[in-house]
Amino acid sequence: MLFRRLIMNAIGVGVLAGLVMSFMQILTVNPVLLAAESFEQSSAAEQSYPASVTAAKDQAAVQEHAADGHHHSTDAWGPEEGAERNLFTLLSNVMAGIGFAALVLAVMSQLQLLGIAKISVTKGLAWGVAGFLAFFLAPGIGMPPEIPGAQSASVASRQTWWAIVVVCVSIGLLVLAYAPVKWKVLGLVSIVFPYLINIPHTEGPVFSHPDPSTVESLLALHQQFFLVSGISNFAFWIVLGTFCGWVLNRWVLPNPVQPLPEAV
Amino acid sequence: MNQQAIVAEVSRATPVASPLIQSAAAMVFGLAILFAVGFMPMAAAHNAAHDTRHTMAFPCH
Repeated sequence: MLFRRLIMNAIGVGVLAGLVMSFMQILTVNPVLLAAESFEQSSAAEQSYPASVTAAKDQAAVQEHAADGHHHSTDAWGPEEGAERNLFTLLSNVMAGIGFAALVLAVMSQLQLLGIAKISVTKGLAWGVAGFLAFFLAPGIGMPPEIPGAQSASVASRQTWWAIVVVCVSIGLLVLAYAPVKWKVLGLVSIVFPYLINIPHTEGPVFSHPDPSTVESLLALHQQFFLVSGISNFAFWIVLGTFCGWVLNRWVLPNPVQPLPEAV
Repeated sequence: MNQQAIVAEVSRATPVASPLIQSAAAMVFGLAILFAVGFMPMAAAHNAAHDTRHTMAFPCH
């Protein structure tokens, strides 16, 4: 049954990609996250934001943020620092890998069954690059990945834009790769569209901390974070795409009858 | 459509749902997992997946 094979293979590929991601993330990304958090916790403890530094609106956001469940600082459950936190990061990465692999394999198998695509390991690698572009770089250009303590627009508005940009760029890349030439311009339109609408961003400074040298450190961490998280995500997507391309012909669609004769 | 194609067509007609429906179901499965990891507002879910959300550029608090 196709559904069962899709899910089983998504789990296999997702576990592998999630492990690679976790290995790189825990070594390179999390130290940056923790460094940023140490600033955040000290600033949350002070709870004094001069009006000259932050507009009233930002101040409300900062206090809401300090109060609203950032982990370890409230009653809500959160993993313990150290091994437990890394374990939950690993589990989350594996789950994200399974979720992304299920999407990729479902679309790959459908395109192959319809005779639109002929997936191979090399094509899988290209799908991995496309996945990195659509799910990390495209949303990251509009809203750079944030370290804790960064100020930004409301979560709901950013989640909405994230969903729009990911869907539009994914469809755009698929159209560019697989649609007839006359339709390809629509793929470009789909990729550009999310950047023409209103991208959620904060009105005030990204980091509102009373101490300028702290703000400088946070800005440096912010840039470093985009770089190291980008490298981890790139590795994640290369593994995910390549193995999706491999398992598709080996286990998901192994029956040679499946592609329609006129499609070959 | 030649004989071979007809045979191929018939052999594809299994009693289970069409490949399109099954692929769509796998997509729903993937989206549900990604929602849980990246979007679910519940505090415990946010805390557990916190570092993943930040690293994968999911919007986070």
